[in-house]
Amino acid sequence: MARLIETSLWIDFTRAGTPSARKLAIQPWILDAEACLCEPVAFEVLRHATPKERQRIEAHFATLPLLATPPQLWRDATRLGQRCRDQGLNAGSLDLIITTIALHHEAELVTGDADYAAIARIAPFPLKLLP
Amino acid sequence: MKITVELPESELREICEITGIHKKGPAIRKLLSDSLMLQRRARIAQRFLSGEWSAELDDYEATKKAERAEARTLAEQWRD
Repeated sequence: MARLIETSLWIDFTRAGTPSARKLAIQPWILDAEACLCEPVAFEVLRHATPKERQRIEAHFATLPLLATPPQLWRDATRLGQRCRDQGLNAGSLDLIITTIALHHEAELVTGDADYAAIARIAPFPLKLLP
Repeated sequence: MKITVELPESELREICEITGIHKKGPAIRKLLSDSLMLQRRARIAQRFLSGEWSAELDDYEATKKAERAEARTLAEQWRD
């Protein structure tokens, strides 16, 4: 099963100030042979990177398979957002987009962001929430 | 570049099985490129882990928080 490494883990893994224990907990997931990337995760990370940081992160991202963006992404993400809203959850747009891509590819979403757990309670999907 | 490498028949069968590619040449090529990709990833990850490389990605949390707040605001504005 493909494992989609979500933005929050990349942020924690690349920051100088992240405690070593946290980085060591994330490392095996990044090195997993099934680890992969998707366009919105790359977007969320790279939009905040300085020119020097961009080069390094892009080199890292180039070593991961990219989950294709499904053509019906916007429609599916809209429906997912509506399901969430009907249950009283106003999920972030990018959270819905990333979840939709994971659902489409039947990939496990590996994240440190508890907001995805709230989405998974409404639309169950394989989720690994790192503490 | 072409090179000649000797491999036991059993390993070739295993390589085809692992990669899911029946043709031996392409199967070996896939195994090598996948392995090289993982090695490259491990080397870069080690640089981030050791602190030799880092990226602060300032404003990530602020942007995320603002986007989620906007989602809440829009939902409240459209409430029935």
